[in-house]
Amino acid sequence: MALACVVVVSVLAGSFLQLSTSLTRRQRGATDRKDAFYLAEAGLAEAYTGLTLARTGAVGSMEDPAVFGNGVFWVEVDDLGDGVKELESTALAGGGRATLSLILRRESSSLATLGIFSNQGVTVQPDGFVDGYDSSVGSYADQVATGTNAGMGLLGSNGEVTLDGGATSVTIDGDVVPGPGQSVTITGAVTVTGATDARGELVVLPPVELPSLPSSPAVYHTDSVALVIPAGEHGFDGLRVGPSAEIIVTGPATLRTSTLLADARGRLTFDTSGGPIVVYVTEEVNLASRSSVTTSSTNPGELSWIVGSASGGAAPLGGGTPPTVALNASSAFHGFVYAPESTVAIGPSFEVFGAVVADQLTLAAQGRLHFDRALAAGGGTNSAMPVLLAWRIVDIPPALTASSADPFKLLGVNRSALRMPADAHADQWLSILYLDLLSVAQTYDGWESAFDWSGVTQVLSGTRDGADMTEFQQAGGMSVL
Amino acid sequence: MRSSNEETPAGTGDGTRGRCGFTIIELMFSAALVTVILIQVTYVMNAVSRSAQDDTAAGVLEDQAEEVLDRIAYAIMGSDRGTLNPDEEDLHYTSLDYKVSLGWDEALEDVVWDDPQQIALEQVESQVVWKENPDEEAERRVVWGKYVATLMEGEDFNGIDDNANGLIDEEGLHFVIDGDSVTVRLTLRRADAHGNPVSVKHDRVVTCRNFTPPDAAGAGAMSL
Repeated sequence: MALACVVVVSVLAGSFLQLSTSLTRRQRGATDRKDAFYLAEAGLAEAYTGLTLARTGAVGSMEDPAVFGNGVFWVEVDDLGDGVKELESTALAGGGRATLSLILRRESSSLATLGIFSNQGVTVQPDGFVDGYDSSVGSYADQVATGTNAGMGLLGSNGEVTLDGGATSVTIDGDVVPGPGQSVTITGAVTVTGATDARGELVVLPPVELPSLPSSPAVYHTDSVALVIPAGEHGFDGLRVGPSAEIIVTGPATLRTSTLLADARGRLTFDTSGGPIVVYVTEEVNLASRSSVTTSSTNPGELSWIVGSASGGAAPLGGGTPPTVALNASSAFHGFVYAPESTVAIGPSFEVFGAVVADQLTLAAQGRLHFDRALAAGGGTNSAMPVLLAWRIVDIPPALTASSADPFKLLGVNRSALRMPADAHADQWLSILYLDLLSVAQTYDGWESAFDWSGVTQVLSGTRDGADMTEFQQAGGMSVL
Repeated sequence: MRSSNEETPAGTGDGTRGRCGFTIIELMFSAALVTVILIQVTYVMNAVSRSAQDDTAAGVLEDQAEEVLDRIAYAIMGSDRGTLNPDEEDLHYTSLDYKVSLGWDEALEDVVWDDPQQIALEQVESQVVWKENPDEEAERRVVWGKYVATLMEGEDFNGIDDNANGLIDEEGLHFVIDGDSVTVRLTLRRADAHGNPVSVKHDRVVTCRNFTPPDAAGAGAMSL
């Protein structure tokens, strides 16, 4: 009888234990699935970060995954063409499995990241001043007052850079980057707070693509009542403001005009409160001395002047006559000027907050230029970061769903031999110019897996498999990749 | 010569009576004792069984709630915030329409979106239903979970925010949109084997991971 009681109780206990174990197993399975899901998301994040650093986006493989936490993951890349890539991240954690897909497109790099740039050599005259700031964190004046904009300037060229301090001085609060094999020539009293190393490769300035807009007759406004150009797209055979007259351009707007002229005491106002304004000029920009240009916003990303000839540009870009640009107006100009075919002459009263890129830059004595770093970081209308197009959950490979075994046993890998995600990116051919721990310029050309990043303090320029590393790195923002 | 206390083997014919078996009194006493023990054991087993059933019922309900929320979360994660309907923020809804991404079409050079989908509470049946092409001829539907409570736990139908979560008289399944995120709240309720109500409440905040991409200048070299 006692034996029978013991047997019955044992059977009941076994049943309860099995029920409890079953419930626990289901709950652990749910936890493992969540772990695998978030591990797959971590894989996508790692691959995305790699893409921003000119890596391939591939991390590990099924045979050699990256280990993270209690699981593993790997990311495969599929090139869909036209800069579109699909990242597929597969993760295993305990009995959980997950595969996620991320489709993105690599965006083109913004020319505004070049700062104050001249394709041919540039000379800074006495009393010239170039520095920088970041409009995304505050006003220029505030940053100067607190000193937080120190070293943010960027003056560059594909040729030689000459800093002529003369009897007074020239100050470049930031980096000066001459062309490949070129140098910075310093005469007189010159202060450069940043680096002066040459860039590794020439910068190619793309030609201007002019919008096709119907053209209205030229406008020469001399009336005392302001002429307001409303938001929208407008084309003119010429736009000129006379003495004591004013033309107001209201954003959002796209203008195309042969000439943009301002007589002395004429006023040009760009109101970007409603949206950004882009002005395309095909022949001439001439802002006379004592004219004025006003921008409603202090965000340079909202106003762009693009200067390019309708015939396709001057040599080497084309065979036409290059447009001319003379900026002698009195202005605190917040915007971006792009004139890849032109000589841009900036007068002493035309103070630029933003960026200027030209074929030839002429800076008058006492000129003041302030490079806005927010343009380089995507504060303008373009960004160099990949753009996310689509995210989805995809089917897990059948070979992985057949078993809920431990991931390391299932894949037949040794956990201790696996690499961490940051070390598991696909190997690439690295060509790099950098400053070592002693601030001596060094070069390396070889497989990245054989390169020791711990000896790098600043990357000056570099490519991975021939692809330029991002401007974020070239502007000195990153040292170890 | 044996003493009078020694047992005499049976059949020896010396007239002494042998001791074997139990007396009736002993048997009755044993039976009574065993009965009492069995009654006590049965009582204990019943109590343990009841407790186990209660725990199991709550555990199973928790499991179901987690599973339903996981399905809803994965669906919303793969959707585009712009496709959510209704999309007014800070109001609670018992159904949510959305579309998920199917990937990239190289010929169209664009993202491909699936047919409209919907997650809804069917209050009559107290169940969560997923539908594809809702209210259309080609509608497909799958029940994702049952035992959804009429109202959220702690809430009474009285026009007052009883559970102090900023919502009034919210249902057992509802969605609240806040920016790119959706808060999903779920209360399951059912009776256990003894008719006692068992209730579990869960919520999850999910972010839509898809969005309409901005116009791009194209890949490759620098541009404006």
